[in-house]
Amino acid sequence: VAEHLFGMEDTLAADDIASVVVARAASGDVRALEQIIARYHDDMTRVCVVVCGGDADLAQDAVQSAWPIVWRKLGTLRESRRLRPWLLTIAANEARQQLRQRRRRVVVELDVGVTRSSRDDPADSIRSVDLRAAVGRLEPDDRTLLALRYVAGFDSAELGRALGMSPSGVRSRLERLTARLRRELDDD
Amino acid sequence: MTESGFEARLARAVREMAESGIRPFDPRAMAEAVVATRRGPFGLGHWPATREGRRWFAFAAVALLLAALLGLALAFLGSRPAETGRLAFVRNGDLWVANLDGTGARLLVAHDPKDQTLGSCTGVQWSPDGSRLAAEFHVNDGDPRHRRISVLSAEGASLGSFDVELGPAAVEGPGIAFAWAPDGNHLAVLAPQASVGGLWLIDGQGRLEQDLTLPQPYRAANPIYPLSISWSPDGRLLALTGCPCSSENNGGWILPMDGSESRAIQVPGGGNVLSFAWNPDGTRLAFGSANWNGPTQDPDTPGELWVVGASGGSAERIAARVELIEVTGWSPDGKWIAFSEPGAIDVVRADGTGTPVRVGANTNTAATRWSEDQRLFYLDVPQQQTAATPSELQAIASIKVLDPAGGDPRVVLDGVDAYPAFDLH
Repeated sequence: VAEHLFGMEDTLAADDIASVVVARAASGDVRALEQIIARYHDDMTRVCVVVCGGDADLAQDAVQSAWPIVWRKLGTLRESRRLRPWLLTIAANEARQQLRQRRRRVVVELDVGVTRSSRDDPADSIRSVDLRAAVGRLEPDDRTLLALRYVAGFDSAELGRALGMSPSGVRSRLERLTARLRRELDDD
Repeated sequence: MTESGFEARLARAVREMAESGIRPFDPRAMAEAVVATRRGPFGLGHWPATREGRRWFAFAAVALLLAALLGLALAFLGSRPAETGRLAFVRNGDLWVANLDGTGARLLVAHDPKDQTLGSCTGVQWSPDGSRLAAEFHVNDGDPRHRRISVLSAEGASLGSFDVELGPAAVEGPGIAFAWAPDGNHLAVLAPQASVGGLWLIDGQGRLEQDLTLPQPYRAANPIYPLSISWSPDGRLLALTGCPCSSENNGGWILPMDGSESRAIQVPGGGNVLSFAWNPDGTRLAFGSANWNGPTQDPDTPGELWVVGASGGSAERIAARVELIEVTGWSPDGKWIAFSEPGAIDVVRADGTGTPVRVGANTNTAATRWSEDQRLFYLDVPQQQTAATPSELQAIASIKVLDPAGGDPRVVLDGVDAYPAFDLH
């Protein structure tokens, strides 16, 4: 429940900032942009880190490349209540673009300390590290799907809009991806 | 989508990975850096997306800071007060900005003859707070009737646009008039043609808000030069000119924004109203006139400058000339009115006392702007060039300034296009 609310809290807060600040930012108000950055930069970074397979520096580059795009296109955002998913989609796309531009193999340095585990069971910690390593080995498009689902909190419809797929296509792809990870980790 | 046990662990692992990348950041510095990346015509500058790029960016920022400090020191040593306002002007069809003293001239939007959408700039106006610009452009789609009002940030970023299709008579004539509302949130756009033109209210992103109704006599007429539109300081009234007169219609109208009935401005003795200027508190309105097409009671004074109360009443004649008169601006303290006639720019006391003062002789312009410190900026166009073709009018004019402390007018900028109005804030 707490993890679900984590995403919900962001969505509700996004509505608040959208109605007040987005129009001002779209008309060139730098202070309004500052408020949007303060509110969403970390969320965009979280998505980019996952898309980049844990490469935090590359993720920072992606987010910094995303903000000028946001600034340029903010006036095209038709529904200001959709600011957060719009921002996170731009960030995810920019992270994929960074990966393509670098054309390098991402070396994932995993932090073996579990930073947000809610349990004390060592077996859980080990499984979590294994899962993070497995996520790091996925293709960028698959990591984008996971980032937008589990970090951004997108539902099937939002995932479909962001990835250019139907909601049912999103669900089946997510199921196949989950099943593949389970097989890889022998997790029955 | 509900999460199974494995999915819950997967979600937790993904979120833990996400958290590992969070770094402290300064939103203000980041916002200012993002805005500073915006350059050029509706385009995006290059944000230093790589670490090497950021190193160069930091180096450039330090260099710029040192240059700025050096400039400030020189300005201080020269005992010259810093200019706070900005000029916007057109040079060779491109949109430029500069400091009020002419320094720091910078190309903001370059037009490209090969660009299918962006033609040459033909007019510009700052928003009241100086944060945005509205500019009129030709549209290079082969149809000369197509014009675009673009709303830009002060850095040149496109915030939106509004396309207008002119009627045939307006293509070679007055074109479009546009004006920011005092609150800076709206623009009024006037392109009067019976078939396709009109009067519109658009927002700060160029989106249509309201299709305003022109007075019926205005709609029925073909537009003439000059076309003008101006807001009362409180934003409740629009004053517009641009249609030829008859005994009932002198071409000047006041439109209440609350939708109530518009009011015609009559030139005593007949004639065309050519342009309006509101006094700073919005209680009075100055207008210039010519007697084209109209009944003339006094053939020796065809060009006149009048002041009338915003709510009506009798107009008071402030000045008369042998040629037409266009009012070009009321000084910020409300004491002076600048006006133009062919070949000269004059300033006269708004209460009608004293004789007009000749500011610019042997010049040809209707573009003047008062700065907050009561200096009068004007576009000085060589007289012999006034009948030239549009391309021959590029970069031949100068922006000059007359200081109230006295002395001759001083050139601020050379190489300015002759007819597009400049603006300052």
